[in-house]
Amino acid sequence: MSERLRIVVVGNGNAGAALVDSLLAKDAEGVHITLYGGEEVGTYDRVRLSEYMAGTVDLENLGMRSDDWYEEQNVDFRRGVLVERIDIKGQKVRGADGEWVNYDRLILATGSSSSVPPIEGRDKRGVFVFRTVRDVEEMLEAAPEKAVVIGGGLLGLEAAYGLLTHDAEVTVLHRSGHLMNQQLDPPAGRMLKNEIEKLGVGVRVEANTEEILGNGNVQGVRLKTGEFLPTDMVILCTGIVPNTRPAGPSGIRVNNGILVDEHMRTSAENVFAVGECTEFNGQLIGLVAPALEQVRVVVDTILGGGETKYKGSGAATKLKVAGLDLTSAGDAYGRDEGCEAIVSSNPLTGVYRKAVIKDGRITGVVLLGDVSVGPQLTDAVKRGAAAEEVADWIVGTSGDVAPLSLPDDAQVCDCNGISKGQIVATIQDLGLKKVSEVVAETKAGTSCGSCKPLVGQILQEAAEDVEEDKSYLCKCLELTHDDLKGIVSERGLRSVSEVGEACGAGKVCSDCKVGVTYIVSEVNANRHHEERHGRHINDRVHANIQNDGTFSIVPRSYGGVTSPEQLRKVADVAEKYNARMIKITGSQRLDILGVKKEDLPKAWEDLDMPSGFAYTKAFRQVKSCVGTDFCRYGVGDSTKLAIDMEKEFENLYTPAKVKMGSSGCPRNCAESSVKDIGAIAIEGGWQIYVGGAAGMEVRKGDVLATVETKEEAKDVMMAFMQFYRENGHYKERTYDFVPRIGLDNIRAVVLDESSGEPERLRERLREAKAATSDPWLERREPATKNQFVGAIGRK
Amino acid sequence: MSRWVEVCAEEDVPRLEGRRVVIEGSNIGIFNTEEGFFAIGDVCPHKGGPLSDGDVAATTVSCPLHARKIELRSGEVTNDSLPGVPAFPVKLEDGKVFVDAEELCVKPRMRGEAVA
Ligand code: SRM
Ligand SMILES: Cc1cc2nc3c(=O)[nH]c(=O)nc-3n(C[C@H](O)[C@H](O)[C@H](O)COP(=O)(O)OP(=O)(O)OC[C@H]3O[C@@H](n4cnc5c(N)ncnc54)[C@H](O)[C@@H]3O)c2cc1C
Ligand code: SF4
Ligand code: FES
Repeated sequence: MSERLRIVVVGNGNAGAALVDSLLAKDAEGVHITLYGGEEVGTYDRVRLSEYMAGTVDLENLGMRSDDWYEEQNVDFRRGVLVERIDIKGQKVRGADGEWVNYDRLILATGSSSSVPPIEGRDKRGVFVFRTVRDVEEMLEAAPEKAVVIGGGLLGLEAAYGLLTHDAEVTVLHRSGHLMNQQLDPPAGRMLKNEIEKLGVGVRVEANTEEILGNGNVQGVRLKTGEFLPTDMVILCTGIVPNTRPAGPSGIRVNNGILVDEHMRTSAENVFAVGECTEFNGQLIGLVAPALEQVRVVVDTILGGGETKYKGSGAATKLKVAGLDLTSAGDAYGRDEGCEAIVSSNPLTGVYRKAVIKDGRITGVVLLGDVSVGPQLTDAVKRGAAAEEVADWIVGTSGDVAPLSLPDDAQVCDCNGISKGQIVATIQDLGLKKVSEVVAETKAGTSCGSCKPLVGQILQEAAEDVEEDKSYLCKCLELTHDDLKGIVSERGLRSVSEVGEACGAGKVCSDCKVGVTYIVSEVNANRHHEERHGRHINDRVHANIQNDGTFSIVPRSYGGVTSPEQLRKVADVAEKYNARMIKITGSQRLDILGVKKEDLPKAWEDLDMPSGFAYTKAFRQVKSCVGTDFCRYGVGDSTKLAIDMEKEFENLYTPAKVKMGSSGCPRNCAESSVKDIGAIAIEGGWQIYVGGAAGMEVRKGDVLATVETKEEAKDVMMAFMQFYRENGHYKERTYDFVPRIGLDNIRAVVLDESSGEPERLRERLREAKAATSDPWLERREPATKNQFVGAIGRK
Repeated sequence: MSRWVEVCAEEDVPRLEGRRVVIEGSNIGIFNTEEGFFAIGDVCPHKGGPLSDGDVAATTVSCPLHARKIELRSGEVTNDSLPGVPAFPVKLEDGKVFVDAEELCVKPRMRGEAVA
């Protein structure tokens, strides 16, 4: 142990966390790390705080690491412990836990704090800053009806938007004449104001706050003009100040930030600093990308050759407010002598593009409303590309933009410092096909995520064949099934519209609505508020649409068993409504094909059989064989089991369709081993298969369990069914689900009766089932106006 | 010149759904969204799917057959290079929906207007 280099890291924000990763990656055997983190919650990604505020990620997905992780990595993590003193001569630090810890190298990554302007009344209850998980939690707890955000920069706008998603009436007060005046020129700032106002946030520019008023609690703010704005919350987003304690008092040289050189060395021997606490060449930083660049430099200084130098970083900014696209990089204003600008502006569409040119080279860019060429232009700024190269991107419509032409050394992920060349090489070496794989392998896009679209483009260029990434349910907002499920359950949402209001999913584009409907219904055990616009036509009229716009009817015949009476009714209905065909389906049922929408209710009334759900992502049917009642080989009553299971599961929606089989002996006439769930009778019991398929994909199911009685078989199948309903992703068949979760993990949950969990699963299944009914009964009580009309006004 | 034809009542088309009406022999899909009412030709340019049975969002409908997405304001197909469908001006009066039938006979205009 003793020969390991003892490294103490103070601060586990974005820089501190990345530092630990890089140190371990470089030389896990050679170092021993002690990490101090002042915040109680542990490690998380501050950049995504606004998503946490909007409820689109939970704490776990905010990049939290468990204490176990640190233990596994042999890192001495002191969570919630502030370092109070540094003894630069004795090379040791003392935390609030009272212990002195020796270091060979000390790295300060103490970040910054929100600066609080000297406004009268800033100490009242209801005044917040926006910096930490704690801040967000307190703000949400206060649940304001009205909020005022002071400061219309990046942070202020994100805070405003975050509160808006919690139904607060939000007003942003900004001192300068236009929003984000650090990054945007006045015309872009004015257009941004319009866009922000469209989202429902009030914006006041040239608004100076004189005093925060209230008796203990905030009641309002008074502006310099004397005007009074009532509010129950004030959020100060007016800038940051580097945390220079305890460095300064310990004798380390400090100006506005902790002074560092190009190798990230401070004035004290063996003491380094990185991130927002630093000052380099008179420059403070306020973004992740330069902080992470400094991390790369310091790791090289301490463990590598020390050749990498930090040269200061040009700032590129993106706004992470849903529905608003904004990129700015380099010199947005172009005030210097000799600067010119190429500008195109269309206030009607809210699209504004500007490139600042100096001496024929591009030095700055502002894009609002359409950032499709953002990465190319940001790269052009960094390279100082020639003006001719970019002119078309500014004045052309996005459709005219030349195809992607990033050079290999262009940085794609600013946060993690990953170039296009590195990404291309990884794609080709590992034969990657999906964006999610590229993100996982290269780390590009893991911090703020804004480069992911570009990663997608590079993948298109570099990979032989690209597979669609199924991981996002809402592609517009890049929300996964799990993200959306988190939003729905944490916030108690009950309808697709509520989800739309909460996070925007399914509002401008309908692609994810059906999936969101499933989530909403599953989380609420079918006591959700059903909205038919969140379903495909098949589920609005409970039949499968055909190529000519007519519909097919597949009634339920439990276990594939039918009767003369049913057959007669099917025949009569087919004749009466001019069906194009009757067919025996591949699942042992009868299909009446080609019925007009307006005839569906009458046909169902005539049939008086329940819906077979052959048209949707739901439990379908149990294919059976004749089993012990008739077959000379049968050892289990497969027909009865099939009928029972069909009654147990009918009317239940599932992530993707669920088909079952029930066979009376291992000859397996019902093909149960290639069904989503299958039961095969064996001498003395039943084998339960899951995850089988013989459709687009052919996969033999895995034996989940072998049990002795039919009752046990039912129990296992029910527990598995509910486990899949709760954990499967929308459109994920069991043939993908079972391998993803792993058979052992599934067994651990659904078979361990002593834990009580299988019974709880079955209980939840019954609860969900109890709230369902045969949808064909809507023939008597339609769910929507004109639900089954062919054309309004026509009988 | 406009020739407004009453096609249905506002309440006949549930919010964020579509319904078909027939004007002078042509199938027209009427859509009701938070952005207003829209009317477009009800025959998908891909393989003739009934757009009024599609999935509706603020200003788009996806065809129920193969998910071609149509912009309701203009009738343009946004996710394929197919020709668009005609989009007709709509107005609301006294809870009734009117479509400008003038545009039906002359060459369909590729632009529609929403009314709030
Ligand atoms: C009617 C039927 C064919 C038949 O004439 O026998 C049928 C018809 C359709 N199948 Fe199927 N499948 C039918 C049995 C099957 C089977 C066999 C079975 O169920 O034992 C399979 C293989 C098993 C499986 O599900 O994996 C099957 C695998 C598929 C697949 C591929 C699913 C997969 O993930 O591999 C699709 C496409 C999909 O779901 O995305 C599909 C989709 C469809 C759809 C619903 C396509 C659609 O959305 O319009 C077809 C509706 C036709 C129509 O116009 O009504 N159908 N389909 C069968 C109805 C069974 C029933 O009574 O409910
Ligand atoms: C809401 C929000 C949104 C943002 N969005 C973006 C964005 O989109 N893009 C972007 O580039 N940047 C963004 N930023 C800025 C970005 O978060 C910071 O640049 C980044 O977090 C800086 O990292 P850091 O490690 O230097 O500091 P921090 O993340 O602040 O971490 C410092 C940590 O050190 C701890 N600490 C301080 N003193 C001590 C001590 N004495 N002992 C122990 N621990 C101590 C603190 O508690 C803190 O946890 C955003 C910031 C916020 C608040
Ligand atoms: S499962 Fe076995 S018993 Fe049943 S029909 Fe097939 S072969 Fe006969
Ligand atoms: S018919 Fe509309 S998408 Fe194919």
